[in-house]
Amino acid sequence: MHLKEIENQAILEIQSSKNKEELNLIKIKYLGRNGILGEEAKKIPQLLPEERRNFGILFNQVKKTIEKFLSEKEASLQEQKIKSVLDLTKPGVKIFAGFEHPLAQAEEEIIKIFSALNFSVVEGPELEEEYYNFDALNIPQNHPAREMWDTFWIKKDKNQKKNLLLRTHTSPMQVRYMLSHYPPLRIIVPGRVFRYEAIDQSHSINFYQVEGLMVGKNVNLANFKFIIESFFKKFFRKKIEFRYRPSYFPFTEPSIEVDIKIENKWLEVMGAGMVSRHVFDAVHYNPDEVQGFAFGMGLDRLVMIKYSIPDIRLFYENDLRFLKQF
Amino acid sequence: MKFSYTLIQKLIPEIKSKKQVINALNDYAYEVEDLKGNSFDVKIPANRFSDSASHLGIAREISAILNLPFKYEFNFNVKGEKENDFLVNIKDKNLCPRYTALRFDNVLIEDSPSWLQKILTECGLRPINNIVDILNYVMLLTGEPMHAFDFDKLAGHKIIVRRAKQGESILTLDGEEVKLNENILVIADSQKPVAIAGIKGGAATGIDKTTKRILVEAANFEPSNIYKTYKAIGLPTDAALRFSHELSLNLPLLALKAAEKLILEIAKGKKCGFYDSLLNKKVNEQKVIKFDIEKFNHFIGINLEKSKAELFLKRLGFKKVKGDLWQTPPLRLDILEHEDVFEEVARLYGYNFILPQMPEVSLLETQLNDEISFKEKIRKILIGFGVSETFNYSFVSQKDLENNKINFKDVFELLNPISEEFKYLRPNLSINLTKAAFQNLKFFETVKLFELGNVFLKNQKEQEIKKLGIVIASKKENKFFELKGILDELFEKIGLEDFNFVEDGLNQLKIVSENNILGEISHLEKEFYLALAEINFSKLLTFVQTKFEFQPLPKFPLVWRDISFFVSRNFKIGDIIQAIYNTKLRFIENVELIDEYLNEHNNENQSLTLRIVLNPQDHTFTKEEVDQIINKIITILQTNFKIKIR
Repeated sequence: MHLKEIENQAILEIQSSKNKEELNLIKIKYLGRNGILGEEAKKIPQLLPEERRNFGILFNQVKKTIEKFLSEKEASLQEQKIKSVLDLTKPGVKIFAGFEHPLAQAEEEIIKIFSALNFSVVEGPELEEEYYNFDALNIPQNHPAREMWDTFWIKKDKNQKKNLLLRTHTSPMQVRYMLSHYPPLRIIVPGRVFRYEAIDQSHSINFYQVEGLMVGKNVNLANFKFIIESFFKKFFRKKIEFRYRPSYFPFTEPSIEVDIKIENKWLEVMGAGMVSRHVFDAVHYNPDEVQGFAFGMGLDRLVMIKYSIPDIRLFYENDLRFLKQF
Repeated sequence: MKFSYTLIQKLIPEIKSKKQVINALNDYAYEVEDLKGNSFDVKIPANRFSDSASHLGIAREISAILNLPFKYEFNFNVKGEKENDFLVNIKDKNLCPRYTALRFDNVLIEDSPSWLQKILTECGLRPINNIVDILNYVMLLTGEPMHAFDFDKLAGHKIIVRRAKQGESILTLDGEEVKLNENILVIADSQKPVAIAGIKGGAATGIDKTTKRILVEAANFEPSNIYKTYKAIGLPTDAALRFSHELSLNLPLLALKAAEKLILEIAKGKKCGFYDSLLNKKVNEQKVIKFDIEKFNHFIGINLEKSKAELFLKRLGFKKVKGDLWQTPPLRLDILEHEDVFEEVARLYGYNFILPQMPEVSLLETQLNDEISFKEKIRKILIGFGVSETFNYSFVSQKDLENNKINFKDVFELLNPISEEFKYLRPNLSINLTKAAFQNLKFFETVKLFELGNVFLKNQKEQEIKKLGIVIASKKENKFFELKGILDELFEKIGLEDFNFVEDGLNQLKIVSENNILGEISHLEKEFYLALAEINFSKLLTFVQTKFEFQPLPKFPLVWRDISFFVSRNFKIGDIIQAIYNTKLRFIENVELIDEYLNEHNNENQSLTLRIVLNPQDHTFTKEEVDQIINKIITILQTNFKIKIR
């Protein structure tokens, strides 16, 4: 091979080398003791004296060129190496996501659990008529049973006939839904409710409830216990015990209070019972043909229990330092 | 309602401890709270005042629950005396279904015996004198509030039960002057009201040390009138609270019998007259109801033997008439239907012993209300965009409405607001969202919040509207365009295809889809920069395209050209961009504003750079074709907006 060809070949190889190791091999291949150039040098004794001089000059040029390219490449590889080493311990670029409200989060979770139990999810109005909030639920006017619900009433306009109020529970939706649907049915109704109460750490003028209703030919109280125990176990994901006590609601008969024991404390979490025949009468169902259960629970309270939140007001004050924890 | 363990023990001697009583009641009857000493508090449900707002009633419950003997004769027969030296006239029989009274002579007024005082004190009552104390004791025992008049102070020796006359008033035993009206039932003598019926006695006819002859009243009053009256005059006395519940018509006689015995015994009086407005009329309130064990087991979901169920019924005081027919216990006005009987048997069986049972039902097609799933989607998107979710109060103040120039006529006002701060129903989300943002600016440079909630407006097609509100507040800069960008991308993501922002005044744009206003986006500068958007959430849902068709990917490369030009600031950027779309050149894929610049010295003109993206659709564009299209656009902009290409 001619020296110039060797030079070209060497430059090509040097330029395409990717790292120091490759470059070293190229160096040995061309400049090593038994390298290509070394082999060429061995030809010198065979040359004519006048040829030796020219060959010598060319040989040195080629050797220098290869050396130059080698050192340049070496430098550039070194530089590349410095550039490509990242300090991976540096903090990531800050990405801002918003915070989810714990009540919305819990509501969504409850919807998922009940959807999996084949319940439909519906909503109702917050500004409600007296009839649906009370009368249709067997809570007549001027009856002390109404004392169980401290009510915000709306100031009446001159020509207004119906009494409007802010619903004190989600139960009016039992009536509204049954009036427009035939049994069998199973629904939950999440939503905001209102009570005329002094605001303190466990009372708010607005809060959330989830109502449940299951009606059919054979829906019994034992079924209620099954549904509600599966729900609470899924929601709290903890070992819990249940306690059922007699209670009174005008729209259920029998009426039951549900307590759960979490971390050694009994907590009241739900009012429930078998739907009263007076409610079935109000929605034109035949109470001798269908039966079912209804329940209502306070969402705020469940979330407070779940996350050990001491004050209900935190839910409505919207301090981002609180919300960011969820 | 406070109860005395001493008295319960007297009624059921076999009871072991107060703890036993409390646990039994809590698990099988009523919510009970332990109190200091020999007292405990029972939450009597509204439908159980007739039988259970009394020590007899609670004792009956305890004996049924614990299966302990309890003997008390519920005998409602009081023998009538024919000769009376007083007259009773009931003018309103609807408001006073029964009036009974006993007369005593030669009573000795003194302090009551200590055993009686002890029981009163345990129930939170203050001993006064033997007659008053006996009547209070009988109320605690039977649940029937009673009243005693000094017979010699009753003008004409007459009792008239009538509605008060407008202008009448009464000085109560507590020394309070109460103005009366026609809605209020009173007990009067021949001259004046001597008691507010079922609520409070009058001072003029009260018992004192000199009293010798008394008239003892036990009556029944129409509950809702008592309820309305005590609310109206603000006198929630013990009697009023009891009488506003439906009480048995037999209670007055039970109470009179108990009182008679004690007055003769303790106050040494002599009985000399009796009156009953329902004299010799048999009042039978006890119902006969069928108890079907199969129906019961089907309802509750257990398999209880009939004999066991019957034992429970007997313990509760039900009497078997024949077959499956049972007579309800005396005073139990709450048992009207077979479900009421089921409740009795089920609770004595114990709700805690019912085994949970998986429902065996056919599956139903579940509906997840569209709005609920849509809500979840929007929440997730906004949170991903860095906007945080808030829940604000549904109320606003008068000042809020004034500051936001909202017409009071359009807003629902509460009849009974809890405070000035929460007097009206919120007509929008922005008011409270802005407050929440402002609070948070104390701790953050920029605050981005949203809320999905209901607002209330009068005189609209819908008085309750679901809304989405978003606010961005910043101490540093105007975030209007960030909010506008968030809306653009949000609408894109939820599939709202056709929408426009239309100018609406200087600081606000309307969000319009197919000629319908979906909401507004606006900005204002106060102590900080505020950008606000409020959108009708339900309406938004109706304009979202649920039908979505795949669009083929472009076959030929998209090309773009940037055009930079000067244009007068009198022209709106939105109009310029819209004008390019309006050329209806089918190749125009997209027009973006990529740069804007305002010369400090020449404020009249602005410099804009628009990127026009072209989609050739069926072939690869040549340079000449692109030039031709862009030149066409430039010509149009030159004509319409007098632009000068840079």
